[in-house]
Amino acid sequence: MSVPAIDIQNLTKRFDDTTAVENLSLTVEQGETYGFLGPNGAGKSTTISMLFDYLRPTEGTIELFGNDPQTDGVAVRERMGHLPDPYSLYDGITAREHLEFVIDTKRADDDPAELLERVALTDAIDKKAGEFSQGMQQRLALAMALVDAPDLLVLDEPFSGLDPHGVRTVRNIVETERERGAAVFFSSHVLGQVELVCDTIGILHKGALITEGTLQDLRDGIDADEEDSIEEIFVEYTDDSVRAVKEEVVQ
Amino acid sequence: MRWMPLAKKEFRGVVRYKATWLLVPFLLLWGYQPNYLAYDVLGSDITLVYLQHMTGPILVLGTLLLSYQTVLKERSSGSLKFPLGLPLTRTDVLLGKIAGRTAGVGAVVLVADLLMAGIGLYQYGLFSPLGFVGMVVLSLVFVGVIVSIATAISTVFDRTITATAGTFLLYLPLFVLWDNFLVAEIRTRLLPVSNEQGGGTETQLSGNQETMFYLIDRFEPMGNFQVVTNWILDAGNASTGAVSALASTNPEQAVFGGGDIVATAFDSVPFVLHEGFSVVWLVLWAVVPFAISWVTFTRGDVL
Repeated sequence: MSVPAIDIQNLTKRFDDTTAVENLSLTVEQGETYGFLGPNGAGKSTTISMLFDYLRPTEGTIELFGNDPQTDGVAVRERMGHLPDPYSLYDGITAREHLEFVIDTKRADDDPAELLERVALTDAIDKKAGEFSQGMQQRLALAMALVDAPDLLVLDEPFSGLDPHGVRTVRNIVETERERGAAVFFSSHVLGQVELVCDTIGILHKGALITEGTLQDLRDGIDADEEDSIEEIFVEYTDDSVRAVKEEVVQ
Repeated sequence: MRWMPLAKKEFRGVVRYKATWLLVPFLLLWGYQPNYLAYDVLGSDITLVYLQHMTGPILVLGTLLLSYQTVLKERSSGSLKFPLGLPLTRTDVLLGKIAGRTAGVGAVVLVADLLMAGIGLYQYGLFSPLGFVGMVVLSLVFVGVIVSIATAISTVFDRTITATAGTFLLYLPLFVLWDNFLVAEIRTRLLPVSNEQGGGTETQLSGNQETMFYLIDRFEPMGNFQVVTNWILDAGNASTGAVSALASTNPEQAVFGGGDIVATAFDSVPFVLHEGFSVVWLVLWAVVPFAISWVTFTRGDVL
């Protein structure tokens, strides 16, 4: 059996007195699409930042394809693509130059025009990023993440700032990447899209993973009806007042 | 060298930023300072003295302002996630940024140097080509030193306001007040004989104390740059500009008093005051700030 794309064990990250992520354990297999959900401030971006070694864990371990992102960072990131959130592109250089920067650094041979075609941004190839709308920036950042056909694509809020066409483009890309065999790990607030593309969903709340599984597993966990949307399931899991009432009933 | 694409991107960012090119006219205006003595002694090589002038406080301030946020700004905007998310080590990211910024500001300096060379060629005739190459190379090394210092500021401070304050708190004492205030004050207090007698270098200090004085005098990067470029110009082993150094060795021709020439103070110039040692100092001024950046940037959280 192949090593997992992501293997997180007992991960904790503290900033002074604040615990952003607490004792998190999760595994994403190669080829799996994992939706990482949670309310604002749940610790999703902090977790993703630790995958890329922007932040370092206080406790616990992370392995990506069996490697430590701190000590084997270069080898690990050769196999990864990342759409961060928040981010800022380089205003003074063009879309083509953004992609060339990533292609050259990864020592890949992708064609910038083809990458931009995938995200429907071909017309802007020689425009400076400073002239881009938010949606165009998001498409370019996604194209940068796709360079060199990564084995693990990490997308932090990939639908952010996109119109419905853009949302569909991202969804199609995720599906294409999954078919290619890549693992996709993404966080999003656009729950309807998560439902459409994810094999597994994990819900992070106040730094801890409160549930994980297929959408059906999540439904079963709260005795939700079949017609309950993922939004209702998500609120059920993460609404503190609902959780408090449930715990009271159980007691 | 995985960091080359990052350096290329950084270079593009600097040279496409219009304000960068504002440095060129300022450098030319600052550098062009005709001087009878320099022309009498150096002839057409006075053009090289103009090049030495150009690598002065304006270039330092411009380079610092263009580079002191290189890491800080990208850290707060999130741009830094792109290079850090690629197969680069944190050291690679630092090297790419410093190399790219040095090349970017260096391109501006090169254009200014070429324009000044054109002016000098037209006005005074052909200068030493080898000397010109030496001056240009040293100017680029000097830019690298300042970029390295600015990058250290950018990694050490995590807020723009403190980085800005840090930049000026470094710039003023090191590049403005060092020579004009600190060294001048030490000279006044410790070398009373030389001052009272009008600019000579006779002193009541012991040899070691005098060596220490000259080391302090040339401690900062600009002083070392001037020592090395004076070496190229054969103007004397001094941390002042070439014109001032020439005034010390040619007092009969000087309108004003000159700077201190090491050779006039010692029978045998101590090793640490040799011009070659200033090259080492310059390199250290690049290496030590880089080491500070490296320690700060490669440990713990980077965002």
